Amino acid sequence: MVIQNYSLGPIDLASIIPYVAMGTILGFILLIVPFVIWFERVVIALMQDRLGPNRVGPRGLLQTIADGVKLFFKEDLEPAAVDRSLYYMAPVLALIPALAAGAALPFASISLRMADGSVKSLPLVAGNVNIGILFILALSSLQVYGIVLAGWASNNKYSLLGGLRSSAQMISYELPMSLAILTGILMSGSLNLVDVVNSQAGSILDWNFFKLNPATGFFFPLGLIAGMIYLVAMVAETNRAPFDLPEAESELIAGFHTEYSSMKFAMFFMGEYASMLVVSGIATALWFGGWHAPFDFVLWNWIPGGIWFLAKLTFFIGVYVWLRATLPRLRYDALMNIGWKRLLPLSIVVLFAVATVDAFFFTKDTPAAISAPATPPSGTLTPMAAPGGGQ
Amino acid sequence: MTLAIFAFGGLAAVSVVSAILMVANRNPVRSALALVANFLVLAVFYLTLSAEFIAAVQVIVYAGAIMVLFLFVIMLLNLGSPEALKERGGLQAPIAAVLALIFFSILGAAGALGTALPKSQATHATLNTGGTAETIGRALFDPNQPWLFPFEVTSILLLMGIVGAIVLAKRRI
Amino acid sequence: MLSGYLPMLVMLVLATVIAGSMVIGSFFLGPKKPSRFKSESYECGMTPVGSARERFPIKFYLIAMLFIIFDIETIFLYPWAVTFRDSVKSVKMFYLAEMGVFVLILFVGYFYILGKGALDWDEGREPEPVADPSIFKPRPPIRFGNEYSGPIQIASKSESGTPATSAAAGPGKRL
Repeated sequence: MVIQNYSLGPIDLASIIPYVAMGTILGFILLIVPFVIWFERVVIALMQDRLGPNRVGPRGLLQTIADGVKLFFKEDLEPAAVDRSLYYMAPVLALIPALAAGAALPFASISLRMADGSVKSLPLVAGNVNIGILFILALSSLQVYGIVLAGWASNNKYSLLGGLRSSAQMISYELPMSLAILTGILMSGSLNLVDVVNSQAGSILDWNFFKLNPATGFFFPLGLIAGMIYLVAMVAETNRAPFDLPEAESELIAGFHTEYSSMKFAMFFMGEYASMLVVSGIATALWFGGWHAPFDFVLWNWIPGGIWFLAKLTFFIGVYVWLRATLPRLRYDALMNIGWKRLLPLSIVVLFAVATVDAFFFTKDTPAAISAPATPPSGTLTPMAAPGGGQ
Repeated sequence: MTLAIFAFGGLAAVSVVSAILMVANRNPVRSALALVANFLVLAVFYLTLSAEFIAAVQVIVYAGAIMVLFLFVIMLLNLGSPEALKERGGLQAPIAAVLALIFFSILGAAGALGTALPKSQATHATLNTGGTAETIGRALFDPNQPWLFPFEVTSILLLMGIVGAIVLAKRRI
Repeated sequence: MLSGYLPMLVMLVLATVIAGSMVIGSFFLGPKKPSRFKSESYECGMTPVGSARERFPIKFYLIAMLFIIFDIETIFLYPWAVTFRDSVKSVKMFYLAEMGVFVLILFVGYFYILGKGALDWDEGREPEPVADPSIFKPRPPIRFGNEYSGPIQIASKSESGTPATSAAAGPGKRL
């Protein structure tokens, strides 16, 4: 599907694409969260042989929206002992990174016919930048603040314990997560998520999760292991079951958001689901080929890439729900053991295994990337080789 | 150009205000938060200088890791009422004021003369690719460059950090 | 080049505005009827005792400290991973060797941590002695049923072939 590049004076369609993508992803996250919550409630109800929400709207579809409206008009309780400004700031700090992290997530690509007749393929992403994945990692590392401050500002024993547990858990799982992401980056050769997705074009065999294309790279079980490490770490990063110790209701009431009511509580809730969507989006882009179809098939080639992305995203949300309905909560020492003693060494071994396989079997002999110029004058940083670009 | 200058002015104001808040705040947790804000603005500054990788690293390491440790320590120590933290007497404040005065006068003089500061060697080409992770990687891991040895020594530094953390934090070693 | 970051910055500002307006909106929209009991800290209905800001275990501090160190290690890996696949074979071998040395030195530290037991969350706590060891002895099988039905035998796999002696074997088997 090729769209004409309309232009209105100095502004043409190609130049506002990032802003279109920004509006799309922000609106998508904000609007889809109620339906993700509904989906989770319905699916868990089915798995537990109950009905679930079924009163408001068809099949209870509007239940969460009704809940949201209700929460806006609920009393905004403020316990006496809280640290007032931090207490109000914490939910804001928890929600901002979750919403803004989508800025570096490419979710589709469109073809534009430029003025000179050439067709240009543009990714739909707010920030098509060189450090896309680092931007997301940076924001996800900032997410700790909202939670730890909520725990501290509430001046409640359960909140403090929940906030502490949560922050220790999040920073512990950030290590295997970034090492697993590094494995994917090593396979694709770029920090830009658009390039990462484009390097997985082709069929399901080119996806980093499988990667068994003898021409470009055969990392079969390694990519799978790294992808699984990422999936485990992503569940732990978002504080979801079975890693939902920060809000273990049987021991900590509700953890760090015990003292929060009305919309402030809903903001923590929204932040959790928004970051679920974002990390699932990274999983899609990094391991499962982004907006590319599993394989070339004439009957579905008309489907736009965004639909494929959405389908993969839905799959991961389904996995989240499935995990929550199936697995009991971990004990805290077991959680820390898995993160530090199992996943961390395993992920670094996988990273080096991929690098070794790549060095021995998949070296391209293009001389463009030879990086051995004469030593430049000390103190100046000269760009060595021509930037490698996509691959 | 004017837009860039306005953006710089705004960011600089935020950074100065957050730095002052960090020093002036009685509550250590709020001080730490002001420092985080300062780090974030610093990251945006790096970005405006085309140092994208350093900008990301600034946020990930300083704001995302080191300041979390700071917050932990502040909470761990349980410093009690903010009044307990008040510094009594001492020459710290007057000395700091004098040093700041000297620093700003040197800076002002250098700016006024316009010659004392070394000129940047950066060209447009360097600016466009100099800050990416690729360029940094090629420079850092190149055997012909002088940065390979410092890079390897960094790991020993980190090892010392590990040992130090264990020695400090473990009851029985 | 920097123009690529502008939409991201706009999105950051938008997210801040949305989050801020949610807090402000709920602050003004909701009713305000504070009472002494409502504004107490919630501890399951008990009267809160003491301050919540207790000192907490040093293990959290240790975790944060170790996290910084390994985080810096991963930061060094990013430029390495990006440049790796575009290089020729000899350069790749060199990259592999130097990063191998780097990570190996760090992993000496990792095994040091492991050996010192710094990652054992339950450090230093012995398992509590069991007061009455007899609870671990095999117990007689639990008997279901009451004085009207007589004993009901739960059919297990091994004895499913043997006919049950009880009168109520049928319902027992269904379990």
